[in-house]
Amino acid sequence: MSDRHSILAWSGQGAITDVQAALDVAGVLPAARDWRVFLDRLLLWSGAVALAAAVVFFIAHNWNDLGRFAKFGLVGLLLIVAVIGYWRLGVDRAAGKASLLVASILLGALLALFGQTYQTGADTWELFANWAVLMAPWVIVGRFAGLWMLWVAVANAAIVLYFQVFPGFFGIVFSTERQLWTLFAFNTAVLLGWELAGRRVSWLDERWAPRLLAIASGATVTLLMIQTIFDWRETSATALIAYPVWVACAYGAYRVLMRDLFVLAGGCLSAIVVVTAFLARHLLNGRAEAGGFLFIAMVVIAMAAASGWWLKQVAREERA
Amino acid sequence: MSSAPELWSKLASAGLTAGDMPEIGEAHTPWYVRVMLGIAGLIAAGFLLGFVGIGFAFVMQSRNASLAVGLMVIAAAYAVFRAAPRSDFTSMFALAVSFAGQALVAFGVFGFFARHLTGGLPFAVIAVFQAVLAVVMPNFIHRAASAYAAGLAFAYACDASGAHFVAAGVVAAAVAAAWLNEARLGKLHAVVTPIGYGLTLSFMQIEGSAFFIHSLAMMFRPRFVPGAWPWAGEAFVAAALIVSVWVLLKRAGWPLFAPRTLLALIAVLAVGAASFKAPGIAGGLMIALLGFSNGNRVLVGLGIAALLFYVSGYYYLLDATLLVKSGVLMATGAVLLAARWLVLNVVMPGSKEQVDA
Repeated sequence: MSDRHSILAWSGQGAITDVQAALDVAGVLPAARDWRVFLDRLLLWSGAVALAAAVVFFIAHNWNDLGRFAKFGLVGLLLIVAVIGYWRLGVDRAAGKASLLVASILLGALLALFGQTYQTGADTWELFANWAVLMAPWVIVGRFAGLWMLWVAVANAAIVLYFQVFPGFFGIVFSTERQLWTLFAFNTAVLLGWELAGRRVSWLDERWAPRLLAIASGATVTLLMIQTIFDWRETSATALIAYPVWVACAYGAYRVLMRDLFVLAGGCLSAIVVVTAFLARHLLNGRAEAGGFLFIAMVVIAMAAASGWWLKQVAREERA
Repeated sequence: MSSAPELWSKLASAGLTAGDMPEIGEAHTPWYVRVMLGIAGLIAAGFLLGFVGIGFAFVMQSRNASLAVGLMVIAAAYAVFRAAPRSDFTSMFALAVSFAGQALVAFGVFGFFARHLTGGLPFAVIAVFQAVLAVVMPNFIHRAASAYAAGLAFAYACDASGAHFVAAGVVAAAVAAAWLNEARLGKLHAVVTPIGYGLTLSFMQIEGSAFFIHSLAMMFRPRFVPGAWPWAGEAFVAAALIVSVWVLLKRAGWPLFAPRTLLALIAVLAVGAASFKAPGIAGGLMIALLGFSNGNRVLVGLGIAALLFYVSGYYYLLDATLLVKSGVLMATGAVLLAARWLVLNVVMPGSKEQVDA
């Protein structure tokens, strides 16, 4: 239990006379120096994102009163300013990182402007794919998690848009499955790479990013499993093997090799959803009876309670 | 983070404790485990409702029966929470049963106001009911969920009554009041903290859905006239941000009329003014600041997530052209960076290393 939670819990039992002072003495509340660093980061990142978004909105508006050369000049100039900002400020300063993030977003705006102006005939997925490819060197030299996650988001958008254009030989049904498999494979590969590299590279050792990747990986494989449960005739049924393997790997990685309660909680929720889908498919399909509903509700409650109990045990082990 | 006895001894030596160190009770449950249990509770409640709907169809068909059974079920859930507060299974069971009971109560309330469904009254009744549950039900997840539902129901009630501008401001003020007084109301921590989270989540949704509801209304009703004072909602949110910052500065011992206090408040006022046209910026910043001031990283994360969501969601707002929105974001970004410069160089000047560290 953190100091903050301990003090609040004790205050609930009437054991703390002045909670504000207690939080202060325990070092839970920020000092003036902490405030300064926090405000610096908060205002810098929110300001940088707002400025980059402003340029993207401006290009999306396709303003006819401004000529194409003026538009290219404007975006190009801002891009050069952002890159020079990064070069001058350096990779180790937050302002340098923010400059590189803005430059990466402006690169996407420049590509969109190119496609908009010359009507290249390229599909939207190509814009995102080119953006991801051209941005990659900056992502590699940038050495910060936020920029990597922007790259992952751009690549995910390219995959989603690709399957909207090329639904595939088997039509729309298999297209959804192939799209989900591709997203699952991509995000799982990035997650694996992140976890392996995170042990050696200090700037990758931030848990929020692999947790987001774990959500993307887990959500897609869970959707594939649910799709197989409800439409097993229409799917390849590969999820019947992939899903248990994914659950086992997640358990091995986040319970045995390292501890990450967040991913374990997500895995529990995924298992609850899959079991519920399986029971609903077999107990309620075509014959909705009250007993079936009650049985499924009780199974969900039992599974959730057991998950909660188990996760608390793991958390207790972590603290021991 | 120190061990509990070490922390206690530190607080005791500062004269901040009363009596002996309390026994270490139930371990703190991380927020994501609570979210998982809450979602599972909602799934289970859906199937329990299906059970009632098929097995006891008359309950769903009668507003009286629906209301009565719903209230009885919630009372039973309350008794279970009280009787076995530390049992995982019974708590989960009571949570799911209470969620199902609340849905039945909502059916009943809408049945009673069937002729006035377009007005705000049924939503106002549900908001009051959920607010009572948020205070009374002795369970963290239940309190947070009820506070969230109360906030949303209040927003719908305002919307349906034509007072669109009230909801965001009132809920923002409630969010600020909950987090600014969390320590002062330490003895009621088990009540105040979950309510704070629930209200924060509802506030984020109210600010976010304002984009889409307003835009949808404009799409489907060409003669749609925004409610009176459409700007007032954001003005109230900006006011909540300014008051929050003022309270935090006062708490830090900064006199109101000192130049740096006034400069800080002017910077906040400029950010608040920028968010008149880009809704959510002031609200997101307020959540992040309140979270940081309380040493609550989850709340800081919620504020940052809200800011990202609002900036991306702003694209879909139909009130203004992309050109206007681009200008607004440009001005907002410039104001935020100017505020940063002001903080680092005038309001809280410090060494260069402090910033780069």
